Amino acid sequence: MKFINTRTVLAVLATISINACTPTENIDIHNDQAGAIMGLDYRDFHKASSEAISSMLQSGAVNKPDGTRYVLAISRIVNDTMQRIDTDQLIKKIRVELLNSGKVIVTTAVSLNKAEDSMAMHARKLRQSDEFKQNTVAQKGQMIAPDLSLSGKIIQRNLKIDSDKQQAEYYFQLSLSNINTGLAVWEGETVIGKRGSNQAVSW
Amino acid sequence: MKFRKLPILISVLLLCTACATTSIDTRIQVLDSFWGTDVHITNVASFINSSDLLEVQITGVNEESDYLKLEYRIEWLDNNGFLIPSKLTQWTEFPAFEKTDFRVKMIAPKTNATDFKILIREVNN
Repeated sequence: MKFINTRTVLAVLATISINACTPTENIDIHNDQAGAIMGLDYRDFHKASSEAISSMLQSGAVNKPDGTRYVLAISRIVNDTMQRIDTDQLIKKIRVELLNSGKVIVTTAVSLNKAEDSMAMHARKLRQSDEFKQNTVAQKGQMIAPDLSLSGKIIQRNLKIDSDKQQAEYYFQLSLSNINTGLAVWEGETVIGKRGSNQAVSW
Repeated sequence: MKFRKLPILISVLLLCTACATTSIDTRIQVLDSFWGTDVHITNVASFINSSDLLEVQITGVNEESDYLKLEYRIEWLDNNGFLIPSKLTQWTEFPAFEKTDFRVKMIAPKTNATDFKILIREVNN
């Protein structure tokens, strides 16, 4: 029993000393020139979202002829990679930039599964409550239906080059569809390829 | 003796000035060792597109016999010179193939962007 305790203590001390040798540092995200990793990191999402935003703005697809804003709903963004990804890492950047552009506004009340923010619908239940001034409760027929829908997919392909090297390919594919017509008014793809050791993990 | 050295000093200064790459547009600045490479910006064109957004295209030439991976970072400014925060303001890579010219196109994130400042450097691998 004493022997086990000594070993445990030694293991803990070794772990602490190893950690002490590798100081934690903040990443300078404005000038991060560190080497790439086989998996996807924030720089890859930055690249994919920037290319999508620039391409969308350049295409004129988000420019409403009457000068008002398009209302955009976020549809399904499929993560078809081996990694656990929250697709908002990609979509949020696009949403923020499209909103800031003044060309598009995103609805949080309409989505494929349930609304991103269900409060808009939930707050309407207050119409039945005598405790609330009814002229402060959201009125019927005020919500705005979406004009456009953004859908997409992130795909990963892993290829073995030789006994030492592997290649990981990532495809960020996005489509912007006109809900009225069902036609895709913009489509974009960003490919990110990485080559590295077979020891490196890409999932 | 001192006067004898003066022409040499002037010659050296002139030579140094000739070596330094002159920027075709003061809004474009090239950083680091990039000055030492044989890459030049030859043209900067901009226009307002049909969405009322400012678009910029820079043209340059890589006169080296090696392929270069470059990156740019653009800041968009409004008509008061204030920075317009944007997710597009980040280092973005682009290729410069050997002995050829290259073009990079950028688009402003908002309609109130009227000016820009571009930094260019070689990617540090």
